[in-house]
Amino acid sequence: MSGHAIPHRRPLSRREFLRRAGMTGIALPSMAAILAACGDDGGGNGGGGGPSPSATLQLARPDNPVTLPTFDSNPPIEDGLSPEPGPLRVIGYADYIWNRVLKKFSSQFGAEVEWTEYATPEEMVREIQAHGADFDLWVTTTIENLGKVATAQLIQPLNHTYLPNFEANAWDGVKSQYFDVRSQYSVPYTIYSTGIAYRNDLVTDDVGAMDNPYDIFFDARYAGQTHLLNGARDTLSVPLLRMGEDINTDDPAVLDQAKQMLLDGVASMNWKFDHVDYNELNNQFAIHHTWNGQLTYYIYYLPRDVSIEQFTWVFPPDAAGGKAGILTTDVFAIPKGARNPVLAHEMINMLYDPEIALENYSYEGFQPPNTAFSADQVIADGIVPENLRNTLITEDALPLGSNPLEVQQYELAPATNQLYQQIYTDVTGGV
Amino acid sequence: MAEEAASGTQGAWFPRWFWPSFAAPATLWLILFFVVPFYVILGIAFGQLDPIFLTPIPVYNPLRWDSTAFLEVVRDFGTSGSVYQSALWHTLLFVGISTLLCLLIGYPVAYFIARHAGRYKMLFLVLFIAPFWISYMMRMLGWMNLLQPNGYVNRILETLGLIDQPIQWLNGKPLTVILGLTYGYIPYMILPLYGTLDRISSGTLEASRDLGAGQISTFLRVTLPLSRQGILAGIVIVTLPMFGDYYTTNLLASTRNTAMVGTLIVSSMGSSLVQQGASLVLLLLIALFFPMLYYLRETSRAAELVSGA
Amino acid sequence: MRRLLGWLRNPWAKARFLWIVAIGYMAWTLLPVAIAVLFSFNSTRALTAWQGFSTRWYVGDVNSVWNDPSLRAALFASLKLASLTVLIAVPLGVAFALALDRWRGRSSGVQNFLMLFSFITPEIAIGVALFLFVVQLATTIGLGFTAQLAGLSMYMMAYPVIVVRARLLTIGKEYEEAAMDLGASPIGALRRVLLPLLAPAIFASVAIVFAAAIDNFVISSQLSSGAGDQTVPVMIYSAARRGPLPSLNALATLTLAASMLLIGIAVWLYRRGTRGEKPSGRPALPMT
Repeated sequence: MSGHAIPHRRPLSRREFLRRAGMTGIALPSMAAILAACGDDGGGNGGGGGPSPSATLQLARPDNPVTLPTFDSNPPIEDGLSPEPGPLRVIGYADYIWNRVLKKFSSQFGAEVEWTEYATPEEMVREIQAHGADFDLWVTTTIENLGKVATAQLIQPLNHTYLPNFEANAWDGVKSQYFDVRSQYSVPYTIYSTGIAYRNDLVTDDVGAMDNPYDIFFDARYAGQTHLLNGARDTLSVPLLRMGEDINTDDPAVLDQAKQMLLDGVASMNWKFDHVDYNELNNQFAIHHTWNGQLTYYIYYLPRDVSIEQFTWVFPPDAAGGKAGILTTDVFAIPKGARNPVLAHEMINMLYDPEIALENYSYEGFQPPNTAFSADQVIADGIVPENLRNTLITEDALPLGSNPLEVQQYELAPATNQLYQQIYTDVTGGV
Repeated sequence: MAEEAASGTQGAWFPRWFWPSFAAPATLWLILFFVVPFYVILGIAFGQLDPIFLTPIPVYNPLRWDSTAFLEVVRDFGTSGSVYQSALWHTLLFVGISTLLCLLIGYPVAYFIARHAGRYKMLFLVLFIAPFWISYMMRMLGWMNLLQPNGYVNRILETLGLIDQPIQWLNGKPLTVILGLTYGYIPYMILPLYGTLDRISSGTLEASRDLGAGQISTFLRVTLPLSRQGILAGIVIVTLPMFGDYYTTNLLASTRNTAMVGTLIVSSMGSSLVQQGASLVLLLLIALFFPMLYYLRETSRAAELVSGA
Repeated sequence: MRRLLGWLRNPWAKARFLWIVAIGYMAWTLLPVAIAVLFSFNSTRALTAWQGFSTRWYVGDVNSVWNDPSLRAALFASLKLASLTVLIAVPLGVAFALALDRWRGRSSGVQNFLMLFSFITPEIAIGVALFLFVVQLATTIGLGFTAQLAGLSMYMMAYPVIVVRARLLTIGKEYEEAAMDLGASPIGALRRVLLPLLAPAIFASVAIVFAAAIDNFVISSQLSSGAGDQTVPVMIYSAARRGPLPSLNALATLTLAASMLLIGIAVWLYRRGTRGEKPSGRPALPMT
């Protein structure tokens, strides 16, 4: 079945590719390094002719940390303001902060919380671009979008004097990260990894012992029972990681290979691209490329005859084969023009309160980078079951980018992004 | 007298401005929310992309339109193995088979209600109209309940000994999509069929028999030709929305093997491929333009017949 | 196949085959819905097997329609959207129908064509066009309830136009002309004579538009901004792709009941309004 070759869409030559990227005024890492060397290195508001929004979008990499540009026209809020009456208007994934926590916030600050949900970070970027001032808090943006929304002044710098809990309780490794040096525009909400979750009663192999754990997604014995995450970057990361390639590659030949691998897989494996939920857990589920937090969240909707002990988690960097895997973060940001910026800061601060953070974690399953509780406590409290202890991320994994096997999806040049998107549509048919 | 002279041939008692002004609000509404939005689609399909955010920048001046993205989509339909081409084949296949099934099932049903239901005619009409008032989503939800691996369909098949393993109906089966589309749209097929079949007078049929035609030839030579209009109207009315369907296949299958053009259109709206989505909408409308015109012409002719009577 | 031939050979006999086809068809169309309704009264969260009667998915359970704020919000959003769509689409459509019927100006043909064309354009095209319109051009409208209302009221205007025009064919111009001969003003003739005669058609339009709007999926979904304006069909669609509970069936059952109730009332009013008249003209377009 997988024999027939499927011709690819006009492969982009590397030169054409770079030309397109260059046209957009994007500074690729090498260029960014030069700019960083002669540009402003200090804090504050840009100093000598700070970069103009469209001129330099610097693409942050661990070896090229970026101090995001600040602008006189987009200052952080003043110190010492009192919270606005609200309502606090949040944009984010559905159900990404526990309702009970939102209620606590409402009663503490006397402000309602209105939540507008979007399914993907891209849709949220679009919405923030169109109606940023309609929102006060963005839960959450991702590394791959942060640079452009800051450079285009769609979000405002944070005022850390409102975030004492963050300063006190956040892991040191997240206080200044390569994509936002000194957390000028963002602070992390959760730290999570992407790995392989599988039913150990249905999958007989020891996936963790495989030379290449990613092969399991292509194992015909589990056709029709294997799920991949949806979204261009996450889906494409599977073949790229399997091949041992950079998940941020802009090499058209490599991307083409990845696309072929996905198309073959779609034909032979009948993957579903989704976040596994009740239905799938009940029926057609054996293997899932997913987030550690999603796996611990399974507990809440397991079918009656399935227990969480029937699940195993493999994070490839920890496994025998020593393959790379994704370890990354979702961050908070505050849109420029927010009408309740103080409330937004207060919400971020509240989620770094040790008790609230733990309470919220107990529902969400996604781990906050908080020093106030340990892995043992999380296990003891039953938030994460013992057999999934290896889903927990410890502080020594930070800062992000320090371990070459634990990779992130970086911000890409727009033309590369478009290529990823096209491949994704080609592979999934848009379902 | 002056007032009478001022007004046109119609509505001699009303001032000339009176009736046209009644059409104005609805016309304004149509221009604002139908004509202008379609111009925006043109502006986007032939417009530009923001270089950083990859969001569309509409161009409303036709002289500055750029057809690169549009032509690329057209070219992709001709590239074998491309997702556009495979979605097009799925769409044609699913819509074609489903329409045929709608006709094959719908015709006897309409024929029965029109000619044989007798004193139960009203009851059958009510039952048959009911699906129009039941949400499409709810009707699909019913099937999703039934088609689960441990649902009633599999259980019945197992009890009958037809299968030993539950069939994964909802796991990307083209058959499920075809049955879903047929189920979803068949009432729209039956309605015009019933309309034409009900209008054929029994006198015509008796005349045919009196003239010595057998029952088959009466059906083939009289009933079928006389219901041609209903058949064509039914086909058009069923295929138009089916070509734009994405929810049926997404709910019942949602894999690449069952993706339709509508699926691509909708998913492109949430991504950076909005230009491609807008181009697909244009192509869809171009392809459906003539069936739509045909349908409008036929129905307006029917309306004239009624008003003339 | 043999049966089919038998039927062709002998369509005038007892038509046994046709009876079977018709009853089979009715069962096929209605049973899945009946089962969906049945499962809304299931006593467990199972959606595949009947396990006893309960109303917990309506009231009581944390996830019931009554207790789950998002389901309640969806029900409310649907009712609000459908009612306001009726309030805009029906008056605009009725006025448009009157205008087209009583006036044949140079542009009326174009206007009529535009109206019918909007009606048969595949909804996905309208939904996407309106989405891009409010996101790119009419950004003050933006996604959300206002956009949904604008889109639906435009799309649904054709129903009252078709129904009212059919009714107007049976009424003729004599009544309002007689009224004006007797000294009534144009507005007075319209209000006192024509509108009462049109009342049954208007009731019918209200019911049709309400039922169609409450069931609308494509436009409501394309123009939804997220929570708050998610109507019942939009909610069913997104939840059914994740993991539905019987409360979803309960929600669908409630909207079904709402539109059935309204249609019942409309039919009753229509019958009352047209009692003693000859059968009215056939609608120009089959309902879609």
